[in-house]
Amino acid sequence: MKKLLALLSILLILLAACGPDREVDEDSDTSNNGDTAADSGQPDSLTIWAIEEQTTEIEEITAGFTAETGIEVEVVPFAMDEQEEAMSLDGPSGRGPDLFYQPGIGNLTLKGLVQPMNVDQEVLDTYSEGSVEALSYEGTVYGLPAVVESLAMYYNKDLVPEPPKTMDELQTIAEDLTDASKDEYGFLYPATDFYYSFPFMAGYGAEIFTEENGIFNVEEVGLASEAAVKGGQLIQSWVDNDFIPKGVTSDIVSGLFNDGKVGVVINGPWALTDYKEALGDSLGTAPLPQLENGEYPITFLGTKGWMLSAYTDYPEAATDLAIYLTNESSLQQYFEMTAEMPAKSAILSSDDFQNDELLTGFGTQLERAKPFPAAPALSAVWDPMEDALTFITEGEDVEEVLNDAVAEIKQDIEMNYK
Amino acid sequence: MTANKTYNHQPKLALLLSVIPGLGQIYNRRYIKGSIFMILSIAYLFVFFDMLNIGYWGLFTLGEIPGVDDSRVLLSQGIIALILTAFALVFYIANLLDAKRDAVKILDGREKPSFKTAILNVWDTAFPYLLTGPGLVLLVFVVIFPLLFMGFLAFTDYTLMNSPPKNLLSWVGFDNFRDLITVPIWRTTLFSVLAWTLVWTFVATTLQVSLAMFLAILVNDPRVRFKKLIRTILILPWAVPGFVTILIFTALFNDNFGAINRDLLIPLFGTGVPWLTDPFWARVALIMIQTWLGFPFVFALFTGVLQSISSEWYEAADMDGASKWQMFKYITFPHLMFATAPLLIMQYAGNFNNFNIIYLFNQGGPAVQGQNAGGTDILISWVYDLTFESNQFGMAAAISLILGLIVALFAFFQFRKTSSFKEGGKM
Repeated sequence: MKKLLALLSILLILLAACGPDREVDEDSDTSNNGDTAADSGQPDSLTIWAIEEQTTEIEEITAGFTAETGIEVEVVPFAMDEQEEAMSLDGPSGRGPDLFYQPGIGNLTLKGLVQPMNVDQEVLDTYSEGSVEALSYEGTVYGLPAVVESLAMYYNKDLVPEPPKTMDELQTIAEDLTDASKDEYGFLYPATDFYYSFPFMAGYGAEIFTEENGIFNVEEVGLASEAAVKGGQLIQSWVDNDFIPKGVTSDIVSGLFNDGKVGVVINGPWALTDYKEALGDSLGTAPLPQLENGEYPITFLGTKGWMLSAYTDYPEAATDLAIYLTNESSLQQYFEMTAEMPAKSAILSSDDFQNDELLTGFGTQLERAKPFPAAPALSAVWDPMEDALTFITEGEDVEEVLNDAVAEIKQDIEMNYK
Repeated sequence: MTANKTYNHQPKLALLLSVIPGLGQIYNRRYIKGSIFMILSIAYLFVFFDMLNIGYWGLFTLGEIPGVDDSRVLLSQGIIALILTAFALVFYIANLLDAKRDAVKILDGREKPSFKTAILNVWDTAFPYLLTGPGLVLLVFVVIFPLLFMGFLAFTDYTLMNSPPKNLLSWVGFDNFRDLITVPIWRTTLFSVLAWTLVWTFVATTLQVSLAMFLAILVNDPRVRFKKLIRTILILPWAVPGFVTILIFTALFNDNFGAINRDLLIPLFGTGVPWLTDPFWARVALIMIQTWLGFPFVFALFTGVLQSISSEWYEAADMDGASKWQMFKYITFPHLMFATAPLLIMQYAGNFNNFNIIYLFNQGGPAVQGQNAGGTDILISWVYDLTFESNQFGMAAAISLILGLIVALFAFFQFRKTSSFKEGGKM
């Protein structure tokens, strides 16, 4: 038995000794480096990951690119929220795409999945306000935006002939139309959802994280500032005056609006088809009304665009493809096919867009919207703020509630995002 | 006879020669077996050398060039290398023992079996292994491999801010465990969650068992009629899928719109209870829901055991002048416990990790100041949040290991102590 053990231990030592053998690895490493350096040639084909619902539309657009440059484009359908995970495994192994479609920079730079895009400033200037920022991190551009979305105001022309331009007008509408016993309301929106309520705080000047040149300082959370408190008090006043009932959710809002019982709601472009079907010609859109300090509420600008993979063999050709996919004619085509708002100032401010009653609200509000702060720590903000807004709607002291929420956010950031 | 030849045959030499698989067998003059072993070993080394090489290197270093080496892939390769080595070791030891055994046989003067007999012998001994082999391989790669991966992750520093493929992971030894106990926020959360988990396990399970026992004894009474109907109705909470029940209960317990507050408490008492927003009441609600969900199974169990207690015990006790409580304490209760002890232990262990109810009810409950987990988070739901929301993979793995250890220890000690395992049929 002892001999057996002795033999085994010798074997184990041998195994450990042959472990740190870099020779085999060195070869494969240098060959990898060799590949990435030699991308000067034009590729035969590029691969892009597009969301499943829009693959056909994208293919139509890329056909134009192939006609122009002769490079084939393979469009692979891939669910948007699965792309990040898949990229982190497929990218390094060489099976990843050259471009992929993501709703913002998020954690992509943290994980090393994207590389900086080299795009002329004049091209970057053609995109709508804030959309390029949404796909940048600390000032460097990693992707080009295709579509944008933001909240805007929907109103029922039968109940509200002219959309309110200021908060006072909105207040009057709410006073006139609200009759809770009949489930009729002048103004409704899901007040406890931070995505919907923050625009009012931002309009007074609140910032989630202080920013400088695209770099966000996550140590300073500005959600308990005076501006935020003012925004919170405005929201609280609506609930106190019974304009908005407690515990209202977006389902309830949409349900009542579709029934024609609400004058004004706040919602995003995703609800457009639904509302149009229910209200038909009575539906109109408008930007959010002006606050009493002269500023407009700043909604969150959601951007989706093409990100340049860090593992692509042809970054320049891929950048060209991204520019093509997001140029004016492609986005116009895409907009006509899918009704998603394009991230191009030229289209958004065009007469067609502005004069379309259902789009004018969005067109204007999109230029007033600001992208989400490009910091991973943003994930720490949602839940505590939702709790805070719930307490605010239940009548608790706004400043106290916001201070508690900020303490919680800071603690979460301390633990997970440092 | 080959008697004079065998005096020189040494089992120890056979053993030593078997360091190179096959040589020992050849020394024993089992030429075919020896060559097969040798060919197999050489083939193994040929095929797996690369994998073992990179695997062990990756396991020790977790990569050296960020961006080129992916620590997760290297870790996986390392674990596969370990598994392959384990398989090889088993074969190797079998080879050593086989050589020694055969040498001893030759020393005893037994004849070398013919080729045909040898094959038949192998078939006989190996048959069960052949049948379970594929299952074992599947088990190793589908169950053991992920477990080992998670186990190793607990000793790395894998978080969102330090994630492959951009960054390399590194071995941090017991740092994660140390942080859990020393860093104030982790320590507070860990002990708070652990405390609640233990309280939850104990209270919820005991309550559901007590309720089940009470109802079982009640329904079993000879004076009760429509026994079948009553028992069927009482089994229903178990019959309805747990998911559905929990989701409906969540709606019922909703602070503002739930039926319990709106239709029961406010009309009766004028004020509702903050079921979902206050940690204490959320916990109470959870315990109540679990009692509802858990008692039918134990009820059925106890009913079965009760019916097996012969009535002679009770008659004898009655004649001796025992009260109802004494009869319960000395006859019914011991019978029930003895028969169902292992199953009741399983109930406790099951509730300790009852992720479904905690997560479906309130996703771990209202947020609590000063800790990282929610008010009703148990260890397993906290690990879930750490993994999918905070991306703190290293810590989550460390807590999972602690969790596994607790459950294993608990089950082990309980099974050992329970008399029903030590002496069967004492009653």
